[in-house]
Amino acid sequence: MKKKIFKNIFIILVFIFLYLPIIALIAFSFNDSKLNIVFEGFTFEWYKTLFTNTTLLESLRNTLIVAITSTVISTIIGTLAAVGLTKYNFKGKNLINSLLYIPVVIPEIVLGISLLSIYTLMKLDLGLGTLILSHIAFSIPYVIISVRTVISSMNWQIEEAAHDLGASDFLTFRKVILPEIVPGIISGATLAFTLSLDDVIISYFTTGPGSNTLPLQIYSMIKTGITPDVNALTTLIILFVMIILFTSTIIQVRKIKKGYRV
Amino acid sequence: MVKLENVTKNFDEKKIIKGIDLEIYEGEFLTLLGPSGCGKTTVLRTISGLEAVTTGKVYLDGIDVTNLAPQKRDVNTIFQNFALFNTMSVQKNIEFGLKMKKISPEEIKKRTDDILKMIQMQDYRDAKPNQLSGGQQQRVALARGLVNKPKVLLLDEPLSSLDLKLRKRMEIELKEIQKKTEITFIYVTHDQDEALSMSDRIAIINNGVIEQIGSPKEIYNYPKTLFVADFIGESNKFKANVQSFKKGSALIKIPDLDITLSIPDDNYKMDESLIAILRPEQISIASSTKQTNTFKVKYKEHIYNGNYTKILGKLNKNVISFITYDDIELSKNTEIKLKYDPNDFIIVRSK
Amino acid sequence: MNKTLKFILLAPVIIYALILILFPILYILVLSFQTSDNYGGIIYAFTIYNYIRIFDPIYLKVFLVSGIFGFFVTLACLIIAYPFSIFVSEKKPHIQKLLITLVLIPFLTNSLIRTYGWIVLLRKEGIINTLLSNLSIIDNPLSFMYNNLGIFIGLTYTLLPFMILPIYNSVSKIDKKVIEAAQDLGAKPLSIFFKIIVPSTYSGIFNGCIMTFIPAIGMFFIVDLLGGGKIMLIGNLIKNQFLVSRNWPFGSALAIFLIVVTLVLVKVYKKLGGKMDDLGGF
Repeated sequence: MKKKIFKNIFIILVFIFLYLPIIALIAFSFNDSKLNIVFEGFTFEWYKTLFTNTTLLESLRNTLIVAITSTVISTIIGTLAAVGLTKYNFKGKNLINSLLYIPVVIPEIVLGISLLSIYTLMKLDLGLGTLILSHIAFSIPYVIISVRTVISSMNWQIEEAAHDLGASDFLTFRKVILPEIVPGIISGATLAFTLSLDDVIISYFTTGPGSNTLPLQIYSMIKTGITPDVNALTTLIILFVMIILFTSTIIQVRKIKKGYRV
Repeated sequence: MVKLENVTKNFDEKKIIKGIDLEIYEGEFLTLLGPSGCGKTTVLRTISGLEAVTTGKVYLDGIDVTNLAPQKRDVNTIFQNFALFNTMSVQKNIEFGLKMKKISPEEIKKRTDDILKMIQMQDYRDAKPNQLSGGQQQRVALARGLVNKPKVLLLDEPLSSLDLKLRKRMEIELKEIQKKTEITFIYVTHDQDEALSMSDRIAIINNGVIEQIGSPKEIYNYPKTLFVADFIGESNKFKANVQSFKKGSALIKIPDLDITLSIPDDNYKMDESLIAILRPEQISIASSTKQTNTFKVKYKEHIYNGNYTKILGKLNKNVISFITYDDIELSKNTEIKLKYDPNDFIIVRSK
Repeated sequence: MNKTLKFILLAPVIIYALILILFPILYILVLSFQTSDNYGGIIYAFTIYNYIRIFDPIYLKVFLVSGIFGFFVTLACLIIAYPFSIFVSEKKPHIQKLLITLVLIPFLTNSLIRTYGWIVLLRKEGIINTLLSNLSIIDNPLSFMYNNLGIFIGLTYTLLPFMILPIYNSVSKIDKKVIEAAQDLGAKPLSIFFKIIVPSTYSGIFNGCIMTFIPAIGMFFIVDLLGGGKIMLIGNLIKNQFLVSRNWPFGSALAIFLIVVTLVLVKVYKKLGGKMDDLGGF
């Protein structure tokens, strides 16, 4: 019994540690003090001024453009690749497979500076375009890993069954294989989207003037002085992430529970 | 209906099928029977087109389909673990092949309804396959193939993932469905009981070649090779050798039983070693007065089997098994006198 | 086999892997053997000077400090994550799922935003100091940040989930029957822990250590914000070479050095029986 209490306390302490900074930000988003230092009283004011802060809103818009575009592209390429790399053998397949792990294991800063180097070499203008390209670069391997996990547990005989029933290669892929791997695609896309929202380091090197993403905007604001409406915005973002994650978890938990009944 | 002409198949230099000639007639239930790894599934896959042949020809209804893609062959396969599409409902699974053939919606609906009725799954048309029991999944897999009215239905060990009781019931159902639809069935299994109970003909495959093909009775009663005799049923084997020839027959001697037999000559050589086989049910306990066609074994153990008892005895170095319906109790090494009928001997070459 | 389908499935990923992974890495490898002209330009002439320069005491000190920080941050994460994962894995399956999601939520909100949260908490006029002085525990505010402690807290906090996820994954895969069998054979709790539980999670532990150690020495912004610019890790050094001193060849040499360190660690991980697909931790 004592052991159990100790274990639960330990779990709770870890969660307090994990949530402390987030709670601090949420609390301060309602703080009636411009200085953002001492808690003086409750207010919604910062949520109102947030919608007039054009720099902040623009960086939010950039973040979303980059995240959505790079997620869509890397999910498509990653899904095709996961199927292709499982299904076919070709010369150099091992090289491609090893290359795919590089963005996962090497420090982000290395990927950031090497992408910056080739953009400069190719004389690309740094901006939203290079940001999207860079986010695609680090997202694709994660999508491939997610989809591949589902594929590896798939019964490949269904492909032969579809051929046997007269379906062409394309129809088999679209009607039989694709629906089967949808769970992997969804988790891969979610991962790509959140990685893109979270990225600081690679964006830091590959963005150009006038196309700051939200994290980069906050980075420069922390150095020059941050306004409380940032707290309001981050509170909204945290809420948004929580709602998405919780709904998906609740659906999964229900599935687990259903699994027990069957 | 299906004809294989000298078909071979290599996987990376390894010869899986070593030249098979096989003709399968319309409406027949033919079983390819053999141990795992003998190449029987590969034979099936060359017929469906899921595997290209290395050499040889495959004919379907008189037409050469050797180089035709599986999509274009009028055959369907029932896979070992069903390979149902779990993302689609039962009905969608069954309709899949018809839609691929671009059959009219009315016809699709009619055929789907009919087949659901035949497999008694009308109430499950909207269920997903992974919500069904093994037997139900088996029926859906069968329906998904049959609904296309293929010229030939290929079944790759379709019952192997079911439990014993369900397997026995499905054997009967399969045979009934085959009779009702009159579709040619080619069935692959390693289970001799399944093969014997369902097939019109059985082809025994070993090491990439057909050892023998014939009706279940022929295969069981007249196995042509030692492998077939061993694989189907149980065999008591006695060494024999050719002693002399006389007007188209050969005289062979079985030293263990101290008997000489005259059998039709099959191009035997002098002194060639042969194997004489008796099935356990062809040996029984002899009365003490009987003198001819008897031999004695030392009792070793018995296996009680419900309505009969199998007894194992020792003759020199051979273990002899036979069946009795009487209740007997014996102590170890007791001598038992056994009798047989020399006409029952099955003679095969020892290699 | 359908050639068009094969092309559609494979062409994009091959183009991607060659242009966005192989080419950039090869290019900085080439850069690392060139010379900077002191104005941000590159003189294309082969030299190994950049690699010799790495062993200059000034830079060796950066490596040493990075190594020490990386080590202690990894150790702290391990000490928190291991018992945490075991305790969580003892809960009912749907509670486990919920708790792991709760670990993921802060992880999926931006790390920079959370670092800013720590600033709000830790600075001289911050929440913790205010609280402590209001409770009259301290007279003068304590300095939690702009020093080593700040960096340590920030890195440990940010990287903890990277340690929890792989360890939890390997802990939750342990067959409970094996533990019961050990109990049945008379093993004491402590020897069960060290002889059964820990060995079967080696690859998870090492996975977590790689995913913590490598980012720890590269996360320049946490060091910048919570260390106040006094301390430099390899990440800050590389960033400065690229954006401040504009000596790209030397910065590239440092990056190549980091890649080599990473590849060595990954080799060890694979030797321990770890799977590459698990390295992402997800």
